[in-house]
Amino acid sequence: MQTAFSSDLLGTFLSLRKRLLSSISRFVGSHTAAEDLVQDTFLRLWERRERLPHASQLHGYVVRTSQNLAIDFRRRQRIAPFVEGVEYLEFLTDNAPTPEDNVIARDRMQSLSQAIAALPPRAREVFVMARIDGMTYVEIGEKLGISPKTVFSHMVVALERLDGFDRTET
Amino acid sequence: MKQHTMTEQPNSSQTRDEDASREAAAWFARLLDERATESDHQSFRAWLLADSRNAEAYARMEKLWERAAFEQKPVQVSGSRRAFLKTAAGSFVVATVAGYGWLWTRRPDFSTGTGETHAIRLEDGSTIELSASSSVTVNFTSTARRIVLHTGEAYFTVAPDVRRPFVVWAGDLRATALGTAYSVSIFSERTSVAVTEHNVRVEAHGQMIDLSEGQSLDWADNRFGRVTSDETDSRLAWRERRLVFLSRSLGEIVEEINRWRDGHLIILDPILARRKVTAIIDVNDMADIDKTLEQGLPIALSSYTPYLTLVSAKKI
Repeated sequence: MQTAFSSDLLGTFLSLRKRLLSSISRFVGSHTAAEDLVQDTFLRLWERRERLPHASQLHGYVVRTSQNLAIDFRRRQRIAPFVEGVEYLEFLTDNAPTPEDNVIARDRMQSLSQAIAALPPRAREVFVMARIDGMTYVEIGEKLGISPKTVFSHMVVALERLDGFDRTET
Repeated sequence: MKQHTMTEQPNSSQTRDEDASREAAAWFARLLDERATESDHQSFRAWLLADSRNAEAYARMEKLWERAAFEQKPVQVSGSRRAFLKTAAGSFVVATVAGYGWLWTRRPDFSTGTGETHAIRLEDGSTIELSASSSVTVNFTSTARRIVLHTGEAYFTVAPDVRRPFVVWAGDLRATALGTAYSVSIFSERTSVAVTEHNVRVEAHGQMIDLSEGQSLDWADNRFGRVTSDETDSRLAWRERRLVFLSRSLGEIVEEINRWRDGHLIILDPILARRKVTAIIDVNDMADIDKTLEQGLPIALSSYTPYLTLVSAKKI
């Protein structure tokens, strides 16, 4: 039942909120940014409440989502000064998108899942470890027994294929 | 970024778009690495500015990355859920708005001040948890247990007693426990009932709807809204001193917050008041409540007197 998931989501989120706030605060070095990121975590997951994992995995999923948002935040902070004034990239320097802008059609999400599943095995592994598990190239390299540079090459393959898939879809 | 990765396997038949896509993938992958240097970033900017298709392709990478954040490994769904709710006799919540003196002219028997909550144990063993700025009158007879919710919101846990039905009156609405726990709330825009255990019969203007566990329902503009099944927990979060708003108008949110926060918040801009927002507001720490509100909602506050605070749209 989808309905049960979403109330589990709220309970899980509320029970984790304080912990997420303090760990993200430390990670991004700003309490205000951490407040935004934690709030954002809930909004994003709430929008996707019909596609949440089973209750036993919800805890981990909420934690991971918040961590990934925090990692993305730091990455965008690094990039922001260099995309200043570049057409098409204004959204990178804006504040977080409003949830209404951010709702993604279910079939598009599904097609992305399929595209990821169709990647070459190593590229898929690298992509999932970096994106979903929030691992660095060095960490992924250690885990897979390959160099960070090879990890990078697999990542390029994954991104290019996924982009190609997206462009032929739309 | 080393140049060779950008020109790997050159293929003269590739279109410019495909080149942009591969280069964007390479740039994205490079800058994903926290070890990317300042000069990497400067070359990245030069690449972006070289051709608008580059920036366009890079924007796709960012969006792709964002969408992929919520990917998950597929899992099997099974088992009985929400068993934890089935232990007590029943409970529900009702919320309402001020101004129902016509029902009983008596003063409320129990009421709470701003930001205050209060639990009441009734003679029959039922309990009422009053939310902030809420008031009820209790009227028990040998044939009926009647509660009038005058203002705010209350959560009822009902002791079973088949001879005396437990009925909550809130504005036009009447909620009868069919063995049960539920919550009723009244706001100026709506009156609502949320059921956490067993069933509640909700009646208004001759219409009747039976709600079951986990369901909630609004009465507004003299009619019932849709029965929803995923909002009951959020509507009861106030019991933990958290206010959870799922796509509610800012006007309604501010009205609710006024029941918790000293002084009065006012939205002058009607467009802002209609804007739908999803947010969680912690009302444990009232000393910092204004900061909490500005962080959790797309608003800026400006206080004119300790009593009056204007709410405007947050400037980005």
